[in-house]
Amino acid sequence: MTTELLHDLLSDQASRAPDRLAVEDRAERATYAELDAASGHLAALLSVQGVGSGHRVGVLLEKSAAAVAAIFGVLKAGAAYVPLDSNAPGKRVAEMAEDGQLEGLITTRSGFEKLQPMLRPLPRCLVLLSADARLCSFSNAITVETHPPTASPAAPELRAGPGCHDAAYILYTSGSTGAPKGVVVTHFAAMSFVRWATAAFALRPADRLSSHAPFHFDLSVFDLFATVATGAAVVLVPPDVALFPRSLADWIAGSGISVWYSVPFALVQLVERAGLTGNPFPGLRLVLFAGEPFPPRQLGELMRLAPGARFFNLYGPTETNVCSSYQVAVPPASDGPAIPIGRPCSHCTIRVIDEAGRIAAPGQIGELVVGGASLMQGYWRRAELTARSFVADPLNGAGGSPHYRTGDFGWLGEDGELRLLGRRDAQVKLRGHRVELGEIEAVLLRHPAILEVAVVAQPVEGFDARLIAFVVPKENCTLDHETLMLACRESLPVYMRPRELRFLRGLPRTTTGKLDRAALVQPRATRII
Amino acid sequence: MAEPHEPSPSTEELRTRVRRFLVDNSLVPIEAQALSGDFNLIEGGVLDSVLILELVGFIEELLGVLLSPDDIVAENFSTLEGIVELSARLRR
Repeated sequence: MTTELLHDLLSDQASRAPDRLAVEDRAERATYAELDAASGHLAALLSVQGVGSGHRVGVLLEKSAAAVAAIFGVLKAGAAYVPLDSNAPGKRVAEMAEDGQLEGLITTRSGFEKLQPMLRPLPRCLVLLSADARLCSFSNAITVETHPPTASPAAPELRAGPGCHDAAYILYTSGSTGAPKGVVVTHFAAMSFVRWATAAFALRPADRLSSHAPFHFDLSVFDLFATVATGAAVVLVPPDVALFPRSLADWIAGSGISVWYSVPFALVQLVERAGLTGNPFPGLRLVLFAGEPFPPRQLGELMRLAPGARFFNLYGPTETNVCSSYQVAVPPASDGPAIPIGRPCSHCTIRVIDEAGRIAAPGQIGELVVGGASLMQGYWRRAELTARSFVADPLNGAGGSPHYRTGDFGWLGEDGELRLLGRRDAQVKLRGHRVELGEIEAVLLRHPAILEVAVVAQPVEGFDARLIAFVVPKENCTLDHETLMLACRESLPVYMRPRELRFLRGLPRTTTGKLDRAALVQPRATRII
Repeated sequence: MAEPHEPSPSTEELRTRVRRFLVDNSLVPIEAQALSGDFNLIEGGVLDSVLILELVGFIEELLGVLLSPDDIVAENFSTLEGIVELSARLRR
């Protein structure tokens, strides 16, 4: 029988190679047997409280080996894990926890205390770990039942385990209406991506994979599950090391990483600011990046610094996970065009469609739609949004499988490689995160003195973009910079906060009355108060 | 690198400008007064990797100099005073 559930990958490795290293952070190293035992212990705590199949359990922990065990513990209990960002403002975390209708929450006492005043209702079952939780100390974990279950849970032995079409995790991404939306991914979907990835990159047990992305970011699905599927080791990048280019470079060289996966920014800062020369990373054999375009000049420089590594540009929104890949064979020219996103992975089909929904001719620009096994089940509790996100297979119609509308524009080159152009809506990529400008606008509009607001992303030379909020105060209302910036800090993660506020008497409109975002960034087009 | 057009800022001016940058950009809400002395900007959640590089760019523009990779380390960027001392050292 083939393994169909993500956590079975762990049990399989634990019986096959119990003593092999599975996960490493700065404080500890855990073997497959240890990771299996620790996650099994947490799963048992959840099961005893009646948490299991059909439930969701939040994981609010600093990135650590303990957090990895918590994720596998939730899966083993039969529930879906909902990774929550321990660095995000408490208000936003509480919003997600509430939207996710969590039955359980695994966190620390201080994590819970930070969330408690804002969280209604409380998840029924809390599992509290000590602040510096190690896998071997999991027997000290405390469970708290905040209120009795609404229905009496079935005895654990009578409960059905999850099937492969049940949810494995929910990842929250920015939503245009002002609240983050949860992308529900099944075991089946995640597994199809994991199988493709382990085969496509020929991962092997001797590999040491980096884990740079936080666990609420979909890049972590590769880091965690492709590692465990292979029987390799995942090495968590210590957060303070990742802060400084030189320390990150030293860490990569010293930690024996053979496979690196991150957003391009982490690598660009190495090239720009670490002062690298020679062949600083001889152990590196694979460099994977995704999430935003890698500027060709810095990519070329990095490739010359790591001549022994193969480089792949991966593409795919959270809703599909990675659906295309492109091997960058030679260092691109500094002033050359953007790197292609490549060809569809074996678990996916990608079609370019025109405005009428027909397949676009090669070279013709259209929207990318993605079908195949790795697609999300839908947005959590947003049936209408889910329905709008899918279209029938443009090639095979009702006979084919539904395709997800990415909202990304691109075209298929004569060489068979897909290329990306931009968005059809107000979504931007900042530091590798998807950001809906509408979500930022909605947060600002909660302020009682604001009449209208528009947020634009102004491209910045070299990299990323700068968010500027144009704010129109209500008549007779005064607004100050400090108060608004503070409101943003309380509700938005750092990459979503406007870096600049400009106060206007009105927003520029096109002749049809639509907001004219282009006019906003032209200095003379608007009257600044 | 072009000579800065304006005279080099005084240490007190540097402190004010850097404090302003930190208050405006901090990841967590922070009061200007809290930034005095040896408050740890990294443990306190004020700075992340992107902000550190933005701050590097800010200092470079302010002083008209380029920071070396060895300047961009935890030792210099953990406190307001550390950043001010580094900037004062690089000032021409």
